[in-house]
Amino acid sequence: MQMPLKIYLLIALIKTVLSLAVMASLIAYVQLAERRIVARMQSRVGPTRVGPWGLLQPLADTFKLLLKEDITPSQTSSGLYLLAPAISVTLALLSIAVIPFGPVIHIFGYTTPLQITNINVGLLFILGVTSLGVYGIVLAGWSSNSKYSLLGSLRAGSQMVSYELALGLALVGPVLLAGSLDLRKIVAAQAGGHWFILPEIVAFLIYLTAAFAETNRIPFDLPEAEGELGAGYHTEYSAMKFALFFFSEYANMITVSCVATLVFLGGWAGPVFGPVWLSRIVLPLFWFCLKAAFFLFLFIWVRGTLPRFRYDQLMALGWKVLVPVALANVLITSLVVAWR
Amino acid sequence: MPTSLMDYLRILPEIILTVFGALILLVEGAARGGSRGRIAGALAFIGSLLALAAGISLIRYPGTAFAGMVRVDSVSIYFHILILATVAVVTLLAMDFLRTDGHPRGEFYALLLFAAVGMGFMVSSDNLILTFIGLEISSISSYVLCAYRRHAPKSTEAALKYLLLGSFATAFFLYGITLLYGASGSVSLPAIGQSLAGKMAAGGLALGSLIPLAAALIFVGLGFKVSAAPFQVWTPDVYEGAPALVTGFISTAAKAAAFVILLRVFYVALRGYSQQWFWLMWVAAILSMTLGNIGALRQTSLKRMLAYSSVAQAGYILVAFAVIAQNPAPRVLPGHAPVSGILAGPGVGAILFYLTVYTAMNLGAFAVIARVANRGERFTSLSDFAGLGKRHPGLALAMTLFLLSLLGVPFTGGFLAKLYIFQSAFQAHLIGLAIVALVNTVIAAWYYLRVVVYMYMRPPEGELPPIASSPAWTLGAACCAVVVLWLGILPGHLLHWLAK
Amino acid sequence: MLNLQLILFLIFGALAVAGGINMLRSRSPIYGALSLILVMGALAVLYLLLGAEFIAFVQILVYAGAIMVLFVFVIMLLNAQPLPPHERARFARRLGLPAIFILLGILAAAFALRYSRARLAAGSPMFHVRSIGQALFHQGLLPFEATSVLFLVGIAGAVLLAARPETQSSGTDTPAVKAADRSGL
Repeated sequence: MQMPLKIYLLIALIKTVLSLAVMASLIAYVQLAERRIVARMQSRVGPTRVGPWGLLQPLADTFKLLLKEDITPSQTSSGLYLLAPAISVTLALLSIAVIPFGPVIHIFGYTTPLQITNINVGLLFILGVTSLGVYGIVLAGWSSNSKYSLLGSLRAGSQMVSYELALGLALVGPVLLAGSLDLRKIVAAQAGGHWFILPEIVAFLIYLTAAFAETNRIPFDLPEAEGELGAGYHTEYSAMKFALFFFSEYANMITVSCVATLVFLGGWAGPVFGPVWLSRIVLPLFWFCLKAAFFLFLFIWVRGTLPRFRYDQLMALGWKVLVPVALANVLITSLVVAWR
Repeated sequence: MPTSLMDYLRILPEIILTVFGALILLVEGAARGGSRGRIAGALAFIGSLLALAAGISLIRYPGTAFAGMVRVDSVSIYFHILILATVAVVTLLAMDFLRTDGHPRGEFYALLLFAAVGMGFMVSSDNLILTFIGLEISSISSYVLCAYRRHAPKSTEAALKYLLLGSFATAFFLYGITLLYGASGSVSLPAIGQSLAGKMAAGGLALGSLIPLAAALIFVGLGFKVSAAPFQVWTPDVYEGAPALVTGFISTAAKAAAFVILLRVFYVALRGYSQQWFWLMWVAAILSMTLGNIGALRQTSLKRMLAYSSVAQAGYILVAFAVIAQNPAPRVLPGHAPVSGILAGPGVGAILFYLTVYTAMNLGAFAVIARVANRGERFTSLSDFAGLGKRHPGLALAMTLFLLSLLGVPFTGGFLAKLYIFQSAFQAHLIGLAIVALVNTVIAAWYYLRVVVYMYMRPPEGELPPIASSPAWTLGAACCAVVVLWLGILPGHLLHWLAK
Repeated sequence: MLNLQLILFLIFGALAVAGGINMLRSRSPIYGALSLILVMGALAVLYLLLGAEFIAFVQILVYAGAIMVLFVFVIMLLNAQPLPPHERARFARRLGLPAIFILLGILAAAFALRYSRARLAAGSPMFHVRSIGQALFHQGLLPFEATSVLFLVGIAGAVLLAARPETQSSGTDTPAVKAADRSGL
C-alpha cells in the first residue's frame, strides 16, 4: 500500500463498519424475504402490518427480541452457555473480512479494493472460519445440559464435519483451474465470461448441496428438527442469545452465497457501461449482489419445496455420494489442468 | 527435479505391496461368507512373491532415488529380501489358521502387506522423515494386527498396551530427530553425518551436547521397537496377547527393520560419536540378555517365554552393535561408497546373519505355537505341549529344531549366528561383554530344553482336541526349518554373499 | 508496524501458553479440549504474524476445525466426566515440571545458537503456497505419498476394529444395521 498508515487504517475502518452494517441489515431483510416468499409458496401472505409491505417487520422483531426476558436455565455450564452464541456470530461475521464485493476502485485519489482485506489464501480463510463455526453449535448443545440440545448439537457436529469435506473438495476444482487460493485471482481467472460453473458443474452442484448442509438449512436441518428435537441445539436459548444463533445462520447463508458467486459465477463480472463511477463501482456491485441474491433466493425456494432428510440418508449422501464424486472431480480436473 | 522411471523402480517392492494391499481391501469389501479371506490370502501370497522378486531385482539398480530419500544398497536389498520372504511365509502360515481360528477376515493380509511397505521404507530410507513414516506405517499395522482377535480380551489388551507404549516410543524417536535436525540442519542421514563430521573437524560443535541427547532419544524409540531392555516391559504382555502368528511377524520382521534404522542412524549419521553410543549399546546389550533370560526362566506360557527369549536375542544383536561402535570402520563417507560401504565394518555382517537366522527360527517357533494353540489360542501353556512328541511327532520335531537353534546348538543356524557375534566381540576386545553373553546362553539352555523335555518325556495332560492338518502351514514352516538347517550346516553361501 | 506485531505476538503467545497450561490442569475433558483449541488458534495467529498465511489457515482448518471437532464430539458422545484427582498425577507433576523446563531450555539454546537475529528478521521464503507445494511434491514427494499408505492403514485398521461382529445370518444384516444407526443419533 503506497498510502499513509493513518489513511490506510481509516479506509479499513470505514470498509469494516460499512460491511458489517450492510451485512446486518441484509440479514434482517433476508429473513423478511424468506417469510414473504415462503408465505407466497404456501398461499399465505406473510407479515404485512409493520410499515409498507411489512418492510419494518425486522425492526419490530429486533425490538421484540431485545426486550424479551433473557432466561438462563439453572443447570447450564454458565461460561460456555454464554460463549456459544458469541462464538457462532463472531465466526459467521468473520468470513466477510476477505470477501471481495467488487473490483479495485480509485476514490478520492486513493486506491482500494472493495473488500475489507485481501489475503492470498482467502478461500482457505473462509473454509477455516466456517469449519470453526461448528463449535458455537456444539458448545451450545453441550452447555445447555438438555437432551434435545445435546442430540441436536451432536447431529450438527457430525453433519458439519462430514459435509465440510465435500464442500472443500468441491472448491478444489475451481482452485485448480484458477491456480490460486486468492479470491480476486479466482475471479480474474473467470474474466471474459469463462465462469467456472460450466467446466465445474459437478463441483458446483456438490458445493451447493454441501452448503445447504453446512448452514443447517432444509433439507439438512436435522440439528434443529422441530418434530424430533424441540428446537435442537438452541432449545434452551431465548431472547437475544437465540437471536444471535438465528443471525449467524443467515450470515452463514450470505457467506456461502458470496463464495458461490465468486468461485462459480465470475464474481462481479457482468455487462458494464456508462461513466467510470457506473461501470467501475456501481454495476459490478450490482451484478455481485444480484448473483448472491439468486443463491439466497435458492435457499428460501428449497426451504419451501423440499422435505427433511432422514439422518442415515444424510450421512449416506455425504460420504457415499458427494465425497467420492467430488474426489473424482478433483482427479479429472487435475488431469485436464496437467494436460492443458 | 522431476522423478524418473529409475526412482520408481527402486521402490518397486513397496509399490507392488501397496497395490496388492489396496486390492485385498477392495476384494474383501465385496466378498461374502465363505469366500472371505481365501482370495485375500492368495492375493497376499502372490503380492509378496512379486514384491520379493522386485526386491531381488533391486540388485541391478543400486543407488539413490527421490532426491536422496531412498538408498538402495546392499543392506536395503538384503533386508527387503528378508522381510518380504517373511511376509510370504507368514501369509502361508496364516491361510488355514485364520479360518480355524474363527477370524476369517482378509484384511489381516492387507495389514500384513502394508506393514511390509512400512518396513521396506524403513530399511531403504536415507532420510529421517521417510524413516519415521515407514516406522509409523509398520507400527500402526502391527497395533491393529495385535488386536486382530478383538473379542479376546488379551488380544485387545495387548494391542492397547502396544499402541500406548508404542506411541510414547515414537514420540521419543521424533524428538530425537528434531534435536538431530537442530544440531545438523538436515534430516538426511548422509548430510547429518557430513555436517557433524565437518563441525567436529572444525574444532568441536557449539551444540555438541545435543548429539548424545538426540542419540539417546532415538535409541529409546528404537529400543522399544526391538524390545531391548530397559524398554522391554511391554514385550511379554503384547507377545502373549497378540495372535501367535502376528507375534511371530512383529518379533522378527519388525525387529529386523528397526535394527536397520538403528544401524543407519548410528553407523551413518552418528559415526563420529561412536565413543558415546558405545556405552549405550553396551549397557542395553547386557541388560537385555540378562533380564530376558532370567525372565524367561519362570514362564509357563510358551508365548511369554518366547517373548522374554526375544528380548534376550535382541541383547545378543546389541552386542554386535557395541562391537561396531568400538571399531569404527575406515572412514568411508557413505556418499562415496553407496553399495558396500555400510557392510565394511566388523560386526555388521554378524548382525545381518543373526537377524536372518533369528527371523527363521523365531517365526518357526511361533508358527508351531499357533498350530498347537488351536482354535481360540487356548493351548499355549507348557503343559499343553506335554506329550506332543507322541501326539504329533512332526510338530514336536519342528519345535525342537527351532528351540535348539534359538539356544544355539551346533548344526543349527543359531549356533553359527551366536558364534559370529561372540567372535566379533572377542576380536574387538570386549571380553566382559562376550563372557556375559556366554553365561546367558547357558542360562537360556534351561528354559529352551525344558520345552523339549515336556514334549518328549511327559505324558499329555487331559484330552486335547486334534490338530487339523494344513498344507499351506506345512510349507511355510518347512521354509523356516530349511533356512535354519541350511544356515547351520552350509552357511558359506550367505557368508560369501555378505562378504560381497 | 513492528510494535504492533510485537504486541500481537505477546498477546497470542500468552494465550497459547495459557491455553496449554489450562489444558494440562483442567480436570474436565471438555474444557481440556477447548483449551487445546485455543492453543491451536493462537498458534495460527502466530504463524500469520510470521507471514505464513497458508500454514496458519491449514492449521485452523485441519486441527481446530476437523480434528478437535471430533475430539469434542467424542467427549460429548461419551459424556466424559471430570477426573478425580489421582495419586500418580501428583507424581507425574513432580517429574513432569522439571522435564518441561529442561526441554524448554534445550530448545531455547538450540534456537539461540542456531538462528541469529538477522536470520530471523530476514524471514523465510518457504511460506507461500507455491513454495510449500514445491517442497511437498518435489523434495518431499515420496514421504508425502507414503503418508497416504499410513492413512490407509489407519482407516482400514479403524474399520476392522470398530466393525460390528458378524452375525450368523450375514445375508440379511442391512436392516439391523440401519435401525441401530438411527437409534444411535
